[in-house]
Amino acid sequence: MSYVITVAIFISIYAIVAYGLNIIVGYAGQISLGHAAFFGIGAYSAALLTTKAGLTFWGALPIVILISAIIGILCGLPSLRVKNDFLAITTIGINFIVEAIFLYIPFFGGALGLGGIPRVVFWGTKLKGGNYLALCLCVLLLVVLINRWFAKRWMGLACIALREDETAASSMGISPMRFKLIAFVMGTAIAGVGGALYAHQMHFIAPSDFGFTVSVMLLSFVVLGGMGTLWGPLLGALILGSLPELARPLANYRMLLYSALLLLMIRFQPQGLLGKNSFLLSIFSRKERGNG
Amino acid sequence: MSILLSVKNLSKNFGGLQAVNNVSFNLKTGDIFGLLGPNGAGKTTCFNMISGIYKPSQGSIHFNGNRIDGCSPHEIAHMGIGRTFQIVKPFSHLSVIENIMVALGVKYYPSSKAITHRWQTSDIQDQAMNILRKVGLEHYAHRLSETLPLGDLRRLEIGRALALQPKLLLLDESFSGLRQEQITKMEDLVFSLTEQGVSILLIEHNMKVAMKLCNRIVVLNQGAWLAEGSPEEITSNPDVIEAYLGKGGQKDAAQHQ
Amino acid sequence: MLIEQILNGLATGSTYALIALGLALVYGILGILHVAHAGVYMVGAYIGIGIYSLTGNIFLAMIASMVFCGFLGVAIERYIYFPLLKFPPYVPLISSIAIFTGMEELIRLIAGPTVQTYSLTLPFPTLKIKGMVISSNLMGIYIITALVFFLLWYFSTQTETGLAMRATSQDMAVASSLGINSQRIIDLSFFISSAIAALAGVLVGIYYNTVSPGMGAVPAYKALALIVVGGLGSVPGAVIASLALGIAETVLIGFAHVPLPRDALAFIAMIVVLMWKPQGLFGRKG
Repeated sequence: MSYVITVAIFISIYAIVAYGLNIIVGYAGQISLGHAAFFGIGAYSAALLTTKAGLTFWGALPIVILISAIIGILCGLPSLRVKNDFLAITTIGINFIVEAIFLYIPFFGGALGLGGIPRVVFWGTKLKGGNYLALCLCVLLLVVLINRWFAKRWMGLACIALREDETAASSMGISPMRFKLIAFVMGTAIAGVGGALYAHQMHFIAPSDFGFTVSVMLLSFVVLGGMGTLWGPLLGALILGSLPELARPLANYRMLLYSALLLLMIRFQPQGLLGKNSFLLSIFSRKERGNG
Repeated sequence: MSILLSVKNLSKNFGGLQAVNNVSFNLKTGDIFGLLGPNGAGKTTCFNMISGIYKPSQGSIHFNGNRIDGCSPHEIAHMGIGRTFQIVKPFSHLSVIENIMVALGVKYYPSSKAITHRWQTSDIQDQAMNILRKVGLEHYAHRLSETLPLGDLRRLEIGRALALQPKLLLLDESFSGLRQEQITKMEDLVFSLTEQGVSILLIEHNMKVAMKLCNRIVVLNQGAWLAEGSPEEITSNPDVIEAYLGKGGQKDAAQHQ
Repeated sequence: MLIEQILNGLATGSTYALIALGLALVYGILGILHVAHAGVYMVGAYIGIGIYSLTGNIFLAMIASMVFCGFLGVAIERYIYFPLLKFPPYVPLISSIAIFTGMEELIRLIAGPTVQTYSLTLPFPTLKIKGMVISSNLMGIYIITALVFFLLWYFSTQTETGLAMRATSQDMAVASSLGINSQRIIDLSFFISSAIAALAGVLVGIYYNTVSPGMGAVPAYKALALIVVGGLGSVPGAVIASLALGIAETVLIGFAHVPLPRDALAFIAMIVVLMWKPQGLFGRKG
């Protein structure tokens, strides 16, 4: 049972980070293949603040959000000037560079990472197991609500318009740089929160936890579930996140199965399970398809 | 009447290609001003410079007394210039009314209200429906815009531009690809816009439409200014006829008038 | 000492160039970031070692590996990329990453996760200049890659098919309307790119004496940075960027001991170049 709870905790943490990516990729339409870097920045900041600076998890959290947002702005400013493939490669570069910084600068503990991260204390109780899962689920719910709130504000509509057609959107008064940056920073801040939760669950983090493969995994959660949808990232995280665990009996063949499934999914359902015209949605609803 | 848009010595080159060469004209408030010329004359490039997509290589553009060349497209939208596109650019996955609502946000986007205010209010919905009525699309309000045929998409683009409450509307070949009854409806729409105080600068290949709508025309050829005047002056201008029909085309033109 | 490091760097750069030019070729034709290219590179290394241990003939191993991987590349293009072209670019990109991971896993399962050694000396002369020794293997890399570059240059500039390939990568629609069979050209581009990547795999295996399932991981992403620096879609740009990076990595880090992580150098260089020249060193606009 505690095994199931642990898996559930990881799925919810990854889902939280995926919701951050959903704002960047799903709403604003900016491809980011380096999101794990901000997950890592959140984890390392939180770990350093609670171990070396002696703050509590709750005291560290606002600072983690601030750090993730600021570094998000610094990365976003040069990156968001470029589009599509350039942006994809630039974000991959950011991921590699951040990972290298964690790996090579001794302050971050090098390849061995940081350990001794304490448990989160809430009203006197140390949270673990089911209690920690409850914490993660609360944060997840909050993040889902933030996604919904974002989509209903003018900034959400601006981002969606940018995604659909940047030229048309800009001729309607939407500043591409401003809104891409807003979406990017919201995404990185949310990823940072996920990182903080991750660090305090693992009690020990290493640079390889936040490498490029994690970024790809996060993107595949968002894409499989349906980009820019409210429940897509959670659905994606649930399916693709529990798969490696469900496939554990297959031991050695696990990763192969995972990549095969990812390939099949992207090949035959690229719009995602909750995306437009998806197989799932066409079963559950009758879509009105008007035609002239 | 006062000058609304003033284009002076406007030039644009791309590497070695001189797309626009020393073009000047003035548009007065209330004009329906035509920007005509054969293919490759540089008309859309001029539009793109006016709407901020390109920066001019030389020259200046003044709107309402303010210099606007070099400003970015979103700044120019705020100043009161709206435009349509030669190849329509609807927000495909949004409904028709949502397309309009994007443009209604123009007042909110530069301020912090973009972060705090909702866009799906009944007030915004009403405003959007009003605009849809003006362009005759109110029955398609909740259709996905990508399902609309071309004629309706062109009207949707005009509706979006109108939602900006512009003083100047740039129409880029908005009549292109339309059937005759659609053209008539569109002409009526354009006339009604001027009655509402919107000045119009239009690019058009359909000569009949241009002659009917415009009170003033400038003709470009291969990037350079060729002629300017009223529709009658333009159609009887031998240089214009030659540019469109080649030498010896004057007889053909005379026969068609 | 410095000269030796430069020569080593040139060799490393040459192998990068063989990988990156294939990536640039594919990007130029289909606009796809073919991350799985590094998977083909790795498979090529393994097939080479397999055939070499069966036949003892390294050149046969190279050719066989190149041919097999050429077809492998075409298969990937036909069955995965081509149907996905109508979707936004991240879709083929994710599929490419999935294929790459799958290839790594497959090889790991078939050949084992540990490193295997190629232990052979290429039948090239050893050069002794001014007290430096250039080993046979190093000579082999120089000669073989120079040959490949020459053949590729000759093919693309002096033959009709090469011209057709360049035309198609500039504008596929126009090229088709001129009677060029774009499907064949796409297949050919993938075949050539993949074959050359396989060759790179074999050469790297020989030069470093090892192959492992994970050997494609770093080149996969480094090559992306390299084609951006060179200018997306520019083959000469990719080659030059690769050679420069090979030398920079070896000299800056191996010789001058600059405290930067070796593998991140490519990306740092890429970001610097993008700041200065957004379309890359030899990039086309748009």
